[in-house]
Amino acid sequence: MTTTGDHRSRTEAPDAGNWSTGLARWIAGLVPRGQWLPGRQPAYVASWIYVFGVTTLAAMVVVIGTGILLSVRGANWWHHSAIGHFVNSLHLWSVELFLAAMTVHLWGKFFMAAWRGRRGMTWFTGVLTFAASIGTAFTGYVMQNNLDSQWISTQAKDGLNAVGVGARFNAMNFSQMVLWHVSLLPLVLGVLVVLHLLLVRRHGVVPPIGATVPDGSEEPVEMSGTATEEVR
Amino acid sequence: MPFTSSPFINSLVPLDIHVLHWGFITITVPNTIVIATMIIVFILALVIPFPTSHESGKRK
Repeated sequence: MTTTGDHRSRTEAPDAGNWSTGLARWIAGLVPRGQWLPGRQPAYVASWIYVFGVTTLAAMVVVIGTGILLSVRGANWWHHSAIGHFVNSLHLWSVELFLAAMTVHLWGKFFMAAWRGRRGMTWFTGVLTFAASIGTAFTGYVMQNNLDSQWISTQAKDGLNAVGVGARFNAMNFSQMVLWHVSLLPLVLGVLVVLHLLLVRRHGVVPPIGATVPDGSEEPVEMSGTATEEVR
Repeated sequence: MPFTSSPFINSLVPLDIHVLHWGFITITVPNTIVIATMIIVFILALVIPFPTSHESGKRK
């Protein structure tokens, strides 16, 4: 929003100092133009090893969707309704697929040294997401409240005490663990995943180790930290 | 096998699970199968050829 008769120089852009415009420009500059949802990828991405990231993401969407359904209907629903039981099972198996795909994604990224080309934060946000996912899964297991989970919570309490974290929270505090699983940790995971995806789009997919341009020149594939191909 | 020092807790654990022991590692057979499957899928993802589009040939 601009006002008439302001004191700024006539050579400045009309929206100079405008916070909304500044924010819009900053957001647009986070990812190179055309790279938010690119329709093309470099040729080296044509490998099955690259599907595990999106598989993890798809599984996470199912986890969150079924988790929302379960939280809306409550525990009695998945204990006493066939549909609730089915959604509960979907939630479990999508978590299994999520963690398996994420682990294979981790193996692939580790062995291709995906932190190269100024992609260290992409790697690090992935590591944080992995750790947060484990915490989310463990709190989900504990919130079952059955005798098995009560036993497991005592083991978790001992383990966390052993590393000093037990002074901060008690894994046997089930009401707290329920809320961590349903609200706090999914929020943390969501933020981390958005950051991770943003960085993947910003810096592009890392070329394989020792990759060269396939034109006979043996020129190494550009390792720059930003995706430079503009999608037209 | 006794899992804990509590007979009550031990009585709750099914007795027909198959467990593998290797040094300090104790793992159930289904868990072993899951991990082995993940490793196989990882290796297959590296070696199985990826279907390429024919459109790139038309654009040349």
